[in-house]
Amino acid sequence: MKIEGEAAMNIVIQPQGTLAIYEQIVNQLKNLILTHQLAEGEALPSIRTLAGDLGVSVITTKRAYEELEKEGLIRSVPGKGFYVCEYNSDYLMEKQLMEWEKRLAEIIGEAKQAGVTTRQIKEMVDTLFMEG
Amino acid sequence: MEKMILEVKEVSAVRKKFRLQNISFSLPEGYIMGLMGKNGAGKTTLLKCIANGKSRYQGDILVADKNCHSNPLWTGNKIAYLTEESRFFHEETLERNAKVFGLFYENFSLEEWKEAMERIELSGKRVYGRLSRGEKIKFHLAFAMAYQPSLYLLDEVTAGMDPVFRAEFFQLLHKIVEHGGASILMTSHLMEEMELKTDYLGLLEEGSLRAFGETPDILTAFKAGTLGWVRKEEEGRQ
Repeated sequence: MKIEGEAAMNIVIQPQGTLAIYEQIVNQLKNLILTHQLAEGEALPSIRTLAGDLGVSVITTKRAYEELEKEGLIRSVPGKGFYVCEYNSDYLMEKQLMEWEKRLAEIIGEAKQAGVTTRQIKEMVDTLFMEG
Repeated sequence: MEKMILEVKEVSAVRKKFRLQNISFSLPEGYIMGLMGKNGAGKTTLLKCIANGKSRYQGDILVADKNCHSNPLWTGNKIAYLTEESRFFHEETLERNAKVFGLFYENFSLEEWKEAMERIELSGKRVYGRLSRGEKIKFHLAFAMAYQPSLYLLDEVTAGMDPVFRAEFFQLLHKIVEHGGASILMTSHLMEEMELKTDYLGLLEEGSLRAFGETPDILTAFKAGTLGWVRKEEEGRQ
């Protein structure tokens, strides 16, 4: 769903996805920040506005913002709203890469146990990369 | 401390087929609460107790800080109870119905009603009996919006709505709580709907409130099968 306004964001929710809704929002916003589609210092929609635009509950967007704030990606200014933090994008990308590596390790571990070969996994990765 | 639109305090009631046992929860202003439970769990009984200040129950129910038992008239004007059924005249137009039934409410404004009707894109000239199920529900909502209640009680109104209609309906509900200083308590059987749209969730089982709290927490516990008493204490919550 595209949101008009200060930040034109493309956030897609998958209600039946494996991740909780607010986690999906966190991940997508994180991505937008890391890829500079959301600029440093940029204002984010309010909790209620985002909830309304995405068609989710206020508690959901509230938690998403709280999570992002905890990770240091956004900050709240009392009376004004949420803003993207000034950040060291290399450091954040590094942190994110570590998290992705950890998740990949889990999946690869499981696949290896099931007898999947390195080649099969690499093929899988190539296919998925092309789709994305 | 958040303002509470609805406070249910140790409410118990006995009816012919249903009962309620020691129900307690609070709903702050500006949020949507879902109430789930099997048929016969007591959802409608609870909603009716809240809606009607003259209904018989033990314990206390407060709406906008006033006790319903002690102030049935005042609280009656602050509550909207929406179900599929209604007492509107089937043979009359929506406008005529609004004018007649609006008289029962102190704050009812025909101007507000017309605005609400515009927002839901329904003409007042339509005859009530000829509306579709979804249109009727929208009309009930517009009628309620005209007297600006603090609490909307929605009893299984989304069952049978197609996805497009339902999405629009929720957008409307969202606007109501966002701007109107009101909260919504709705019952539903649809898990996904509750997960996405509600801020707070209560699970009713055989007349008892098995769980109440912020929706993400309740769902996590529910899915993990670890549902005990999952309640948020008042202290420590801003």
